[in-house]
Formats: sequence, structure tokens, C-alpha cells
Amino acid sequence: MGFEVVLFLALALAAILMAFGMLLSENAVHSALFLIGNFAVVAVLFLMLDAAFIAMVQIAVYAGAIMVLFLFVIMLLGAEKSEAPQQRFRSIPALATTLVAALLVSLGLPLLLSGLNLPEPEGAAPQVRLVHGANIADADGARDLRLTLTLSGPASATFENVAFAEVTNFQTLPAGDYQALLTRADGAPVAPPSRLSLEAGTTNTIVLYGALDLNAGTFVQIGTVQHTLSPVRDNTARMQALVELDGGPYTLIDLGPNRTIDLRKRPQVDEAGNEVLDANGQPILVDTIDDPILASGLTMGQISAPFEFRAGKYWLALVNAQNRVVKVMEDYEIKRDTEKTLLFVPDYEAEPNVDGSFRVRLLDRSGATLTLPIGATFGSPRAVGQVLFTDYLLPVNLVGLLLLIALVGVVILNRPEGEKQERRANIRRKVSRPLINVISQQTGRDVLEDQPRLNPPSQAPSGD
Amino acid sequence: MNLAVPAVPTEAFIILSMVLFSLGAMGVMLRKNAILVFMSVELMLNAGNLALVAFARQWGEMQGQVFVFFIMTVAAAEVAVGLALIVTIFRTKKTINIDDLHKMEG
Repeated sequence: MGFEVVLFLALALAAILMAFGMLLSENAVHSALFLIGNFAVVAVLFLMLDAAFIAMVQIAVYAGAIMVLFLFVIMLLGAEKSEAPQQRFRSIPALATTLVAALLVSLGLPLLLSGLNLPEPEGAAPQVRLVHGANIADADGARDLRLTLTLSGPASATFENVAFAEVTNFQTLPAGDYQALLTRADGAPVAPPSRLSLEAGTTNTIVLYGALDLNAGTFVQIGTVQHTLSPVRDNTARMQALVELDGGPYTLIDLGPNRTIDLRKRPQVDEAGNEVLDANGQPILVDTIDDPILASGLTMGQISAPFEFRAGKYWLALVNAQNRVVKVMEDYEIKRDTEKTLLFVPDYEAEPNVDGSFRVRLLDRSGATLTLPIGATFGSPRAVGQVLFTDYLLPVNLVGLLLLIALVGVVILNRPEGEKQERRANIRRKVSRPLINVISQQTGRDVLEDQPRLNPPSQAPSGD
Repeated sequence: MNLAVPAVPTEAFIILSMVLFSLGAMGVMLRKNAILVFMSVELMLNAGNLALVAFARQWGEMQGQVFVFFIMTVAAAEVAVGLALIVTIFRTKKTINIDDLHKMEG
């Protein structure tokens, strides 16, 4: 039995005992205190159910505000022990217990025996999109080669005529194994058919990379990036780097405030972590990067493990194996709660570097976005707030109105009794006094004093 | 979405919620103190909330929790009005024993 099960059983027992305590206490104050305890235990159960916000509200509103109100009224009325001994309705306790027992047995027994039979929550259908990162030339040398990807399997989908550096929209497909066929606009395949597996509930980006040289037998490669999209820590973003460049391994670093790569001589270490010694027994010093490293060991076609990085603006740089910066990303903004795919591809169109090597292009900056938003943690205040203030804005306002009406209702209910009649009587006296005075002067008698005498109930007998 | 199989099944929470609801219902039927009847109603509402939150986790949907939030708000309004009623009744009748209040005469 795991810790959670033990905790649940303990909490459930505590909650039921507290409820019994509330039910059986002679003193109303004790009942209220038992109920507060019960609410606190249920708040912990809410925490176990991934409902942090509801647990907080439970403690603050229920166990706090509402129960304090109860205790206040009990104290105000002195109603701690107002239960008179049972006189009427003698059969009620037995009847109530029977009814409740019948309810529990009729509903609980099937539940215990066969469970709720809830269907397994199905994952959402996988989503997939295509990024064309293969900077390839056609036979005639034209660079802008559009490709079409056809997926066939449980369903079929095509991403038609995708240009280089283009990011398509997401398509939703049923989960399953697909065959991916990559062709040119004229239908000629540019890659051997490959298999592609789409799992339920995943968001995938298919990345095309590599070179195309049919004579040399190189084809466009098809890679898949699976986005996690699970919540990240506060004020961070998740990133994945994907380097479609020859050579390597490449390293993605944060240049820091000085905006240049910092190198420091450090002893070389082997894979086991031991220092490598030269023939004289001295450690071999090599240049190592002293800047913060985001991702390292990036090679062609390999997707780096997702890493989290604090949101902000950075000068990032891609550094090759010789510790030379091949790409600088100036003032690169990393937004919180996003999942970024940094896709580096060779840029053959741009002027080559001085040494003749091609420039590197980051696909994220080409207008198409490879950044996906990450939702808030399930049950967190932010997640509840997002739902409350988008889908449920009208109900929220109505509930506010209801609270206002309740407030007005309480004020009206508890206006000091008799004040209304008293005030009305005062007004009547003020208005009628002068009139009565006039009548009194006319008749020579005090009308108010006379009134009982005018119609004396004691002198009812009349006639005989 | 929380697709991992939880350690404590949803059924366990539903059964606990049923037991708490039944205890609340017994309180409503058995207690004579109007305030205690009210507190029992709160217990029943809270048991319902527990079931809703359990189902919210089962389906990985926020709607269940949002609904619980609304129930809590309505319960707060209900308690305010209800306790005001009890105070008013106590002022006129000098008792809040519901057996003595069973006639609705003025």
C-alpha cells in the first residue's frame, strides 16, 4: 500500500469521525468546531486531487469565514444547548437512519463491487505540423524547392507545397502508425518512405532536414520533435535545440552581458571525469566555454533533450566544436510559459562568411513561429482563474450579483424590529395632532381621551 | 491532462463523499437545533464538492473545480441569508428549536 493510499485512508477516517462528532455533539459550539476540522481534512483531500486553489478557498472561505459566522451566531443567540428532549416525531431517528442506510447500501454496494466503470480518459488526438528545414537545391540549381509530405495510415493527411523555412499549421490526426512519403511538386520522391508513429495526446513537429543529392544517395531526412507542453516552473520556458548543420557537435550558450564568448583554459577530462594527462604527467589544458551552456553535444538531426531556461532577453550563440561562434542571436527573447524549438539550418542564400563557410539561420526568426504556449498547472490558481475569466465570465458576474442580493437581503431581514411601525406612528401623530386639537376645541372634549368612551367595549349591551 | 493512473482511485473519493453526504443528511433529519441543521447542510454541500473535484481529476478537466468554486460562493450567500433568518426567528420566537417552530403561524 503506497503512502498516498495510507494518507487517504487516514484522512477519510478523520473526516468521517469529525462528521460523526458534529452529528452527535450535545453542544452546538463543539459541533461547529468538529465541522471546521472536517472541512480542513477535506481541504487536504482536495490537495490530493490536484485542486490546490479549491483547497485554499475551502480553508479560507469555508473553514474560515463561514464557520466563524456560524460560531458567532451560536454565541450571539446563546444556542449552545437548545435541544429539547424528544417529544414529538418519536419515529424520526429510526426512520432517518434506515433511509440513510438504505441510500448508502443501494448506491455504495454496486460502487464497491464493480467500481464506477468509468471509461479510460482518452488522450486527445495527436496534432502534427511540418517544418521545412532542408535547404536543398533542385536539379537546375533553384533553391526554393517546395515539398509535399503525405501521411497515410489510420487517416491520411498532406502538407502540400511547403516552402523552405515554412512552418505549417497543426493538423489533427487519429493516433497510430503512419507512412510518410515526401515528394516534390511533380510527384518525384525525395526521400525513401519512412514510418511515423503518432501517440495520443501528443503535439508533434515533423522536421525536414539534410541535403538532397540523388546521385550521391543522400536524401532529405524526416525527423519528429515531440513537444512535451507540460507545465514549467515559474517564469521559465522550455526549449529544444535542433541543429541541422554538418560538423559539430555544436553548443548553445548564453553570451552573457559582455556579449562575447568567454573561454578559459581548463584541464581536459575524459568521459569518466578523470583529468587527461600528457606524457609528462601534466594535465592537458584546453579551451572550455565559460559562459552558461544551454545545450551541448548538438549534432546533425539529433534533437536535444528539453531544457528549461529563465525567461528574459539573452544574447545566445551557437558555438561549433572549435569554440567558434557560428550564429549569434542578439536580444533573443525567451517568453515565459512557452515551449520553443530552436531549429538551426544552413543558409546558402546569404553571403558566406569570410572563410567561405555558410551562414547559419535560425528558423524561429523567419516569421513562422516554432514557439508553442504552455498551459498552467492543472488545478492551480492560475488555471482556475483562466477558466473563470474566459469561459465562465458571465456566471462569475452573476454569482457576484447573487452575493450582493444576499447582502441586501440580510440587511433587510435584520432591520431592528418595530422601528418601521414606530416611525410611522410618530408621523401619524405629528400629522393628526393639530387636527385632533381643532376637533377638541370645537367639541370641547379631548378626542384622544374620549376615544375609548366613544365606543366602549365594556358597554356593549344595547337594546334591552 | 493527468493521464497517469492515480494512486487512490476515484471510486474511493466517491464513496467517502457518499458517506459524508449521508451523515449530513442524518444531521438534517435528526438534529433539532436550526443552526445544526444548517451546518449539516454545509456538510452535504461539501461532500458534493468532494465528488465534483474527484471527477474533475478523473477527466482532467478544470470545469469540475470551477463548479466547486461557484458552489462555495453560493453556499456563502446561503449561509449569510440563512443565519440572518435564524437570528430574526430567534428574536420573534425566542427559540431556534425546529420542533417548536414547526407551525408557520405568525
